[in-house]
Amino acid sequence: MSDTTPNKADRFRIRATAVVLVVLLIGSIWKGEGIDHWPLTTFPMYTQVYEYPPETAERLFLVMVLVNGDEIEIDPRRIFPHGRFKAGEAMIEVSFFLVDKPNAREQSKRTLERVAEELLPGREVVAIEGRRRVWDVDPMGNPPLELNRPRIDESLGRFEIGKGASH
Amino acid sequence: MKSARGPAISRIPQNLIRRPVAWLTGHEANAAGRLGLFRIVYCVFYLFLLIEYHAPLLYDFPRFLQRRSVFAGRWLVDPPWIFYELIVPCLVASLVLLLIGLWTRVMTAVVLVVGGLLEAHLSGVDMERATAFVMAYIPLFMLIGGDWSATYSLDARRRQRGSQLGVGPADSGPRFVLPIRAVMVMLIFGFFTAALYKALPSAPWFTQDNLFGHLTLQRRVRNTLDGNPIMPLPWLFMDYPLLEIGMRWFVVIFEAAFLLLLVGGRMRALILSIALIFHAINGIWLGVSFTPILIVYLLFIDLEAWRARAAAVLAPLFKPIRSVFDSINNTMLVIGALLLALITGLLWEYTRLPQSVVSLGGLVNMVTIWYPVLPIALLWFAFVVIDLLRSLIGRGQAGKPTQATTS
Repeated sequence: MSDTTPNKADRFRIRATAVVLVVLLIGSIWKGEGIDHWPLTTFPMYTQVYEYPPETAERLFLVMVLVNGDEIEIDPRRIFPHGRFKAGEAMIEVSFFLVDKPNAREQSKRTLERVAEELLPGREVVAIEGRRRVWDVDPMGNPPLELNRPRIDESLGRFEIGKGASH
Repeated sequence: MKSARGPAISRIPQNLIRRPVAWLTGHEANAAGRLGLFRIVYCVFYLFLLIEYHAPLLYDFPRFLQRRSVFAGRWLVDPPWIFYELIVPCLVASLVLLLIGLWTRVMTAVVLVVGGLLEAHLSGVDMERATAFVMAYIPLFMLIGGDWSATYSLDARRRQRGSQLGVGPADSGPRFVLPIRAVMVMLIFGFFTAALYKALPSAPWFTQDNLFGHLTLQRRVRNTLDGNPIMPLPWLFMDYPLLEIGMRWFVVIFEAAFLLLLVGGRMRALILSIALIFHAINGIWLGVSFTPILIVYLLFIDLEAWRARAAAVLAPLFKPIRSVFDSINNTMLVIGALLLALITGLLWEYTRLPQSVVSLGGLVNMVTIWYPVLPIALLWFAFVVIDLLRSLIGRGQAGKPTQATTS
């Protein structure tokens, strides 16, 4: 038979838990401007507006060029965990599109070099290329697009590791 | 009149405190055993989540793309590169020790701090709400209010050998119930506020055109691009607007119904089984990456009862292993645990071997993990509904006057 009567230590645990719960619940409601509140957060899921899908779908990719000429494609949406899709794509955009901010561009390219080191350990990557693909979409189709047949498959430019980007 | 009302009013504040406290420490079947088993499952799940983490990328992540996080942005700005290199291996080693149950309290604190820092820095890249339970709430409440070292841990074995009184799996003292109930409060709050957000007049949930139709079609495109399963019947919500509106109401009612977890019993089982079905469908067909929250539900399930049932069948198979384990002294086990933690941390950093073991050779990922969950949750839901109906019918028959009494 177990004893469920709170002793002195239990009473301390109860008070501490209650205080933390209150802090977390109040913190979840608080919204500071421009600050993310992890882990003091509520779940405003599905509060965005969903439109009928557009007629085309676009994705950006990274191509890692190895020293022997082989190419390995990396989906930038898988660089950061758990649905942090935008960050990887943003880095490609900054590395290959943003020409008016050279410092930002260089910083972003350095991160892409590190992506090569992290995701392809032991492989010697000599160049990184950005690619853009666009597919025609029929949202009601089964499947809604032909993955192997993009309408546009173009290079956004490439840069050699440790050197500047070329277009 | 005055004297009768006075004590009643003075009792109100006491009841306001006593009732929540009584609920927070109320009875949970096999609480001690459940927490011990949950600790093991939690650590394995956490390791599984860490497979996708490449912390060194955060060191060079462009500052102009970063969002300000309440912890990482203000309290720990720009740590050196070594922080990012070591943070995941350290977390992995701590999780191995926590899984084994060595220095459980210290390891819980380490997992909370190190995991919290890692996720807080990642929230600067992008916010992920589903990780709050794994990396913050669960270890936090285990640390301040709970004790998940009392069963199925090396600490428990060392205490028993040190002639301290052992704890049985059936113990449901406050320290075993508190963390379960505290995490439950956070889950209820999260879902209930999600329902409130949707119900607000300013929210687009009820005002936008064909939400579920468009959402389904969008996610079919995304899942095809990601190589994940696509939702069958794309026309379902487009051609049947009543069904679509029904889904909107169902989601809001379902999220608000998390409040019923406070009731417990069959109602809790009903809500939890529906929640798992909801998450599994979202995870498999709608590409909603809320997988990290899966572990929370195991905290509310009587894992100890499952273990006892399995042990009744499998105990003879494990008897030789157990006798070997019993013959090893505690010092050797502690040394072994430390070596295992160190080796796993190093292998995690320099090879993909531990990651491969945890993901069963890549078979289990953020989507496929839901494949077994869906049928199990559906079965659970069916059993709960049958049980509820039986109890209702039984109550109806019990209330009906019998032949003997009417005569």
